[in-house]
Amino acid sequence: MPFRSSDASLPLTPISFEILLALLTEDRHGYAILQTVESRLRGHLPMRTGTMYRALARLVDEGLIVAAAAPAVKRGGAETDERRRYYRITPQGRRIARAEAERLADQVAAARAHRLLTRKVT
Amino acid sequence: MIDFSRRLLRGAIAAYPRSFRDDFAADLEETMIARVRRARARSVLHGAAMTAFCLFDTMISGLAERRRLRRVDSALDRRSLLMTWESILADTRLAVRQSRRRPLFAILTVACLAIGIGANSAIFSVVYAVLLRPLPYNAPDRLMAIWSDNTKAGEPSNPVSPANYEAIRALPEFSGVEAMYSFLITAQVIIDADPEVVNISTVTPGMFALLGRQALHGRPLQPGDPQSIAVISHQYWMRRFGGDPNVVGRKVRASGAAVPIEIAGVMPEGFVFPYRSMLGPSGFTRASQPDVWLPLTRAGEARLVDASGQPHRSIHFLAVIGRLAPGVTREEAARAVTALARQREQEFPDTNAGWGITVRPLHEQTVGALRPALVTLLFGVGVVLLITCINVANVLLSRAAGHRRDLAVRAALGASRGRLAQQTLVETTVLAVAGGAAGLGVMALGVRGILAVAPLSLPRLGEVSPGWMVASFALLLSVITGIAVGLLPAWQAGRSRMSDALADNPRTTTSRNARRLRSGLIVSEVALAMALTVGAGLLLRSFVAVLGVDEGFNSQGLLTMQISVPLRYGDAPSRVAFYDDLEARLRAVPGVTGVGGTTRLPLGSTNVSTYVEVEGRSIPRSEFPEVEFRRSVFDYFGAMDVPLVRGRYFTPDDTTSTEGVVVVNTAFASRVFPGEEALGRKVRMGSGTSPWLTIVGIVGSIRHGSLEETPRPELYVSYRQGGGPPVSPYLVIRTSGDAESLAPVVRETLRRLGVNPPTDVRTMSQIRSASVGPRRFVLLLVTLFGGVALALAAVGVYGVVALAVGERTTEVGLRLALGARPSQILGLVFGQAMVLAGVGIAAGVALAAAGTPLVASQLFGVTVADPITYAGVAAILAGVAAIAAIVPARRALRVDPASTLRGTA
Repeated sequence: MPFRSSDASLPLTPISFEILLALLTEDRHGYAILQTVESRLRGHLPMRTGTMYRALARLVDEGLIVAAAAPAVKRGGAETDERRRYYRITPQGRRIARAEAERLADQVAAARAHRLLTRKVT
Repeated sequence: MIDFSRRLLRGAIAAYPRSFRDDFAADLEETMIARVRRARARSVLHGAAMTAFCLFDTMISGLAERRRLRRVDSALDRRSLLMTWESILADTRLAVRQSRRRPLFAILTVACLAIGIGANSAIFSVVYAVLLRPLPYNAPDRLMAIWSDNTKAGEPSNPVSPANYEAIRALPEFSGVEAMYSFLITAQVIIDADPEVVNISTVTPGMFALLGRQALHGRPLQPGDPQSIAVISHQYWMRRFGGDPNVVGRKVRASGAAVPIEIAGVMPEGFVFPYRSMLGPSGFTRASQPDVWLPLTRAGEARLVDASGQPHRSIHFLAVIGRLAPGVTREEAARAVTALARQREQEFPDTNAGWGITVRPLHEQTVGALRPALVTLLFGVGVVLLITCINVANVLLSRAAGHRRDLAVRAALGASRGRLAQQTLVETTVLAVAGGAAGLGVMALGVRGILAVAPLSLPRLGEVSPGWMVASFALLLSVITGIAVGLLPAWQAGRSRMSDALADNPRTTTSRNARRLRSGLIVSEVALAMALTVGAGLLLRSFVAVLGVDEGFNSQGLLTMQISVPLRYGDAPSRVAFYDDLEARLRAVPGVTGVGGTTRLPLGSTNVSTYVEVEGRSIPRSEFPEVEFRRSVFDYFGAMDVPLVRGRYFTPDDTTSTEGVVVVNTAFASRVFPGEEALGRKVRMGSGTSPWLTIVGIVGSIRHGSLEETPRPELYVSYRQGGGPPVSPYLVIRTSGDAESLAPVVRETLRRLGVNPPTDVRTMSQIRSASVGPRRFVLLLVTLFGGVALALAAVGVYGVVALAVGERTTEVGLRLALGARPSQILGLVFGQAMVLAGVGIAAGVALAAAGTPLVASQLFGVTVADPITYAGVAAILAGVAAIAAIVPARRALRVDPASTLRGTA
């Protein structure tokens, strides 16, 4: 069973969920998060920086992410920049992200059951 | 371009709230610049577009974040408000618990507030009703009392002659002028065969309209009313007619009235007119309020017009009231009447020369004589209020010092300053509410008590009611003081330097400032109490001096009353026969040693004055000296025990067939015949046609108006001469025993003679005592103030010393352990307290010296700087302070040195 933490965190706003997703594999700084999310969303609309940072602030407030120092090691070609502020997902954040993913999967399954979705959507 | 964008964006980031900027501003800026850079890499246009986009986004997001923050804050506020409501209840319970644990301070505070607020408000209620409250008429500040003013003789408030009244009436500066007899008359009213003497005020019919008051039933007097219409007062209506509304239209018979009088209306309760002080100096009765109003008209009223039908110019007997026309000031009206007086002086030099006309606000006329005394009382009110606040402040400071440890612990446990302040606030409010409730009770009792001892002659006494508003104001003031004072220690507790307070063995060294403040408060309290009590002392000595005045006659063992000669003795000769009969019967009463009578009773009635012309002097009429006129009935001087200086008293041989004689007093002799012998000289009164009268005797001057006034020139005419005996004389009956016990026998004697029951039956001792009634009353109240001030000062000293002792238990224990004798400890504590008291007394002397000139006008026989009073009060205050200090100081002796050193005291 997914660990249900405080109700205040769930459900996540879409952008908050995206940010958590972006941080799952590695710590990133703000611009990197922006790029990751934008590329995943295929840039349908340029994302507003302010909106993202406000979401970042909420996530920090709720303890789902923390500010971290720049990682010493470069990972997979991404730039590391000592001056920049990096963000890291917390264990709590992972739990919430998982809970949210499960919730969404549950919703999608229900949608499929009603033939709302076919496998074709990518 | 990048730099330009950066600068723009950095500026725009200010739209975000501070808390957000602290965390994210730098990062945000970098991210946005990175975006702009990448866009710029594509083209300048893209870069500019991205810059604009980020700018737009920043501003909107920033404001959105601010709005979100505001909503969160208010949610938090609401949460903390909820917390506070419960915390208030908790604090209230804590306050009650603490008071029960240490009841002393709570009792002290509540007592201070109760006494200070209660006594103060009671006295202020009286002062307000008597002195400050507007008169019960429409727009009373526009009503003026208009008097004739004989500048030479120094008579500023003389009744007005009918002719002058009509002239004043015509002035445009007044929208209405009405008049009334400057005295009340009596008549016998027969209702259901039950005769009763009533007091009547005779007013011009437009008077009620001028005053602007309506009747409760029926209607008030109106212009055109004949003499047979009357309006009755509410009191009389309730007393005689039992409040029956059908009294309107009823006809009653009255003595002296040819036809039955019809009652046209009843005035409402609380309507008083005229007040006694609105009447002039001459009056036939001492009644204070009329039962009936009769109309005074030109037609059919012999007094207003003379034989030729013209209004009298030389006889003055009207009290005139005028209402200022809209927009007219008192000064303008005064100028107008002065101009009128001058004009009439020119027109009628024989009657009006030397006469002016004055205008005086009616309210001032009614209560003005009391103003100095009541201002003193108001001053006392202020001082006592001040002392109360000081005391409350002091007690709370002391209490707070004791609670310092408590507060420090709470602060250490995380209570915020706001929380601590709230605790103090709640505590103060609880005490204030308790004190206020007690104070209201004290006020209600106090008002009743004051009314019980107030002299009946005090105007508007019937309108006194407890001043709830004033009590609330006093309470509010005390509460504000308490809060202001109580917050200080709470604030201090929130700061550092609490370590000493929390120490295991708290030496509770109160900060030097707090101690200085407390000392300063005590000194001010004692000083104020000193000043107030000195005022009371001066008034007390004045009162004693007045009581000691020699009135010029023997006031012991004298029974007085006023009678009316039965109407059937219509002419002078039959009245003389009646008088002879009366005298014989009165002398026959066992215990009677002297029988006399007069038309004006000393200390107990008003005046009639007249002008005398001296034979052999040719001075203009307007310069005739004005003297007081009395009739001597029976053996008046003998019964009153007035000494004969020269010549002789009246004898039964002075009749209408012998030479007309008068007896004058020494004041007359020195005023009219300075440096000459008055005996044997001839004088006459009235117009130039009355006969000359020879002065055959000079008697000692007696005090007539009051014990404090110097005797005025008096002229006596025997009852056997001068147009026949008076119709309403005062009788004075001297007895060897108790005068009061004589009353029933005298009444019976009169009844047998067919005389109506006498009015105003009193002993001269009672009259004398009543004549100093107002002074005694003021003295009582000021003494009350002084007492309250002393009590509060004592409480303050007690509290401070008690606290000092509590604070210094460690020091005392140490000293005792080191071998100090208990008496030394006592001396230490007590001595310090007395030093404070001493400084306070010294300051009080200075304060009193500065303030007592205010009461100078009320002093009699003592100077403002009377050393005996100052010394006496200082001694009393020192004594009070000593007692208040010794009680807690002795507690210092019970300190166990061992336990204090161990820290377990």
